[in-house]
Amino acid sequence: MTRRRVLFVDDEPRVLRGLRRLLDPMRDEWEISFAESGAEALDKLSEAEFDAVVTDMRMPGMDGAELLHEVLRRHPHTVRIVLSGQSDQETRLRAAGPTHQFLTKPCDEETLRRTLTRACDLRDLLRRDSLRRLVGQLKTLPSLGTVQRDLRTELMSPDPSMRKVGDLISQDVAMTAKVLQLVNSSFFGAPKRVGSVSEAVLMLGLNVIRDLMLTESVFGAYMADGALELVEPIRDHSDFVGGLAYEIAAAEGADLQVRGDAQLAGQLHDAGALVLAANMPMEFRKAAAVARMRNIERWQGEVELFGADHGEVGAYLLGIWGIPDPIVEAVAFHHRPAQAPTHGFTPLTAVHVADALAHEVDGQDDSVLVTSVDEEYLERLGLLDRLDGWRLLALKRKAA
Amino acid sequence: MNRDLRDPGGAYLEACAGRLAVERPTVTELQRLLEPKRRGRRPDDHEPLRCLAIDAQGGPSREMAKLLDKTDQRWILDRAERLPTALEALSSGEFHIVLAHVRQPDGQVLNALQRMRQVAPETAVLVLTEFAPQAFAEQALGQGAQDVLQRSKLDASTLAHAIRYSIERQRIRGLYERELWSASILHMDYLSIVSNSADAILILNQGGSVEFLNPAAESMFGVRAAEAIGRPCPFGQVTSDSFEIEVPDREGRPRQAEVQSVETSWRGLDATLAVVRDITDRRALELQLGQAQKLESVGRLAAGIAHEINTPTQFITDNVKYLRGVFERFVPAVAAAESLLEAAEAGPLDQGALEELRTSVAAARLEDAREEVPEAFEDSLDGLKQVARIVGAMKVFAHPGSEEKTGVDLRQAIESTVAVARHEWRDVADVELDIEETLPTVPAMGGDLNQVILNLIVNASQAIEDRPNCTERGRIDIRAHRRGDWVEMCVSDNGVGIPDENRKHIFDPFFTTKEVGRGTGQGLSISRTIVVERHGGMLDVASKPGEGSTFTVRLPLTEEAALQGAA
Repeated sequence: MTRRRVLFVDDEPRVLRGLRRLLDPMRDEWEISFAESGAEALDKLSEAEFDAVVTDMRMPGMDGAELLHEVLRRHPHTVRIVLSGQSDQETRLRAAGPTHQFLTKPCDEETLRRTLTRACDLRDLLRRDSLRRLVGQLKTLPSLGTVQRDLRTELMSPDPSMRKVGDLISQDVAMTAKVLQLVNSSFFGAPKRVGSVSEAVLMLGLNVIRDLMLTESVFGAYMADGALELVEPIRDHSDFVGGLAYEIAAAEGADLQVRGDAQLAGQLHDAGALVLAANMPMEFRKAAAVARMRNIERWQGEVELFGADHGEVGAYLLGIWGIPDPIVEAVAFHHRPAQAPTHGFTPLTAVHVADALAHEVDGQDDSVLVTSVDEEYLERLGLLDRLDGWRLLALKRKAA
Repeated sequence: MNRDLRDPGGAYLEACAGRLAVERPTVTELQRLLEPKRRGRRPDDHEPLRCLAIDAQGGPSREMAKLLDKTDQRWILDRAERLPTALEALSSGEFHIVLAHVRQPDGQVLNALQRMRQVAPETAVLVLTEFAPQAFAEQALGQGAQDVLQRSKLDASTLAHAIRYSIERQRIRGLYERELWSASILHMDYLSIVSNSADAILILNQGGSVEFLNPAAESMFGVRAAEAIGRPCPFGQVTSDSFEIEVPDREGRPRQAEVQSVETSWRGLDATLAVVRDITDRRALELQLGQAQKLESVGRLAAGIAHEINTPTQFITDNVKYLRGVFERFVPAVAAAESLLEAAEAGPLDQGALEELRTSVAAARLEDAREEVPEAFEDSLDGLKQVARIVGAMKVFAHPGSEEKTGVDLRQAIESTVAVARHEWRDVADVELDIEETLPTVPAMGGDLNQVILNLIVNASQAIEDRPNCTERGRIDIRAHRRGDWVEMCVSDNGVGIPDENRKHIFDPFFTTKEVGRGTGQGLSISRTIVVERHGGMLDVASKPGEGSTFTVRLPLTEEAALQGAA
């Protein structure tokens, strides 16, 4: 196995030496380098390929936020992590775009190891370097202007409602992903697992949401010409799948965390499709055409064309953003749940079924990402007899 | 304070009764006065004289007409038989003169005159009688008639003469009354200001006794004007232009008030005008504002201190974990060495034990440890020292918020504040201290003083940070020296400097050029309050845009110096 290459940046040499000693037991897995300033870090990055860069925030000259902006520009496929003692909100807002994950000092080796290992392992999902570069450079997902506008109006009103802000954000895949990234990382306060977008909004507080809204390009990303018509149906479909996945999890008596994860994963399951649709609409359409021609499922068409399907693209992005594992797993495998490493009823089960049923009740619409229920997978879980009940939920939801 | 304008402070008016002998006009009278058509006037050259005869019989009117015909004046004579008709005609304001024929000189006539005056104050009234006792004539003049003529003695020239003079006299009387009344209105307006003022206003004569006080003064000092006038001033001597006093409120709780005095005159004599303002609420607000600013600076310090502590915590923890790992690697090696030693002492060398020792020694990686371990200890001890230093400085800085002045070691105050604020400056500047060795302790409120030093350091750091296109490290110089009865502390930076147009505002509350989130604009204003008002010191700034600024704090070492500073 090749060793992972990680670059640590901190203006305090004693911190770097401490990290070197701390990570000494992992020297077989990781090759660690150090830089005492942003400039030195950029030099090292240009000399050799790194899997991840972990930087302090407050440094004289170029600070962590500036450094990561630069790394994003020059080495988009490198995972970008902040390890900071303390920084003010303004700096953190500035870093919220280019930073994949935010850790605070003091940080134990377990958290550090887990974060880095996961980020690096996820990279294996995307075998093609060009795709890795594309996804790595994303600060956010493409977002729809209308929701943004409504959100802005609500936030600027004299007495904004927490609930309404939560509802608006959950209608938008991009903003949902962003607030989850922020609460799951320690951007603003301690990292926290949440069960819903509203809870995330509550954790962050309206002030932070408002500041994020005003920080350029944190909440909405670039969209290529002709992408909008591809993006819009994904939005409606995601909303439906999120709601249905929650209901399925609830019907199975899953605990609140699983229900919440199912809903969030449902809302985010096509994040990868959004990325592909917004950035390469031509190829995205082509993948569908290839699938039709060869009579294979659409995700298989994507694998042929991109070397990965949209589930993997989404999972990679959400993974390096520090979104919790059950959600990332559900996103990654929502078209082929049987290949997932976990067993039993998981958010993946709910999302896979909800996604397939959504297509079923919608009829064969070409603009959405067609899939069908993997009955063998359900059979193995002993849940096949539940399918009709779930189908009923889907029909009811469609009617509502 | 919602007093009737017509009755500005009954107590005051009572007290001043007799002194203010101006008859107040009624509202209708005031309104009528202001109507332009109510100015009394002569008929101009192309205008006939407009006369209104009041005459029940008609004979006297005809007689008047005949006499008027003999004058060279053009005229028009209207006749009213009864008073109500006459009043209605007069209200139009068209008539120059009223010729009122009176058969019976009695009270009714006087009433009628009064009513005519109310309706048309500008119109002259001539009374014609069959006979006129002197007393009646005088009463009639008192009620506004311009002349009383006996009909039998009247000829054309007398009538013309009387008419002309009456009109002119009426016009002059109008002017005079207007003057008098406007003076009265003006007086009322001033009275209303003084009576409705929330500040207590007192006039004190040269002997220090009260000549006048307004209702606010009555309520502030709990006295009635009638009792207070002529008595000594309720708050004692006026000692300077501006000073503070304490006044108990109705429940006996002390309230703070500020007295501003100015020399004036009262009834032609030199006197002192004292304005006393209750500043208790303002003081409380100022105190709250000071607390808020303190919280703001503590908040930003906390963030900085967290960073200063979190960083060493990170590497100390890393090092300790590393050292634990080294120890865990070494234990088997030493244990193996021990058992080998035992075996060697017991008999021939045991190859198995030797092999075991070889393996565990290799695993211990002595070479690595020899390099890393001493440095790991050094770094950790350094880090602990850093944590201890910042915690110690915080303790000094936080200084139990005493409201009493105590002897403050300025060097310690500066050093600890520089240490706790390290986070503010360490990325942008170097701080140089130049503190006189034998600096005496300064009588001061330690917590407040630290806050001033902190504000100046934060300010200097931000000024350096704000230099456009400049990445060079800045420099902050803090000097403290004794200057006679004063101690002087200067905080200089080579930052952006303060533009001239901002310099005079920088000590104003809420004045800030910083973007939102970087400060509320309270720092310098609060610093000024602390230095000047709470310590009797001075806070000045010298600045050159583009080169930097120097803030100078001077604190008095003695009471005399403090007084001198205040003056």
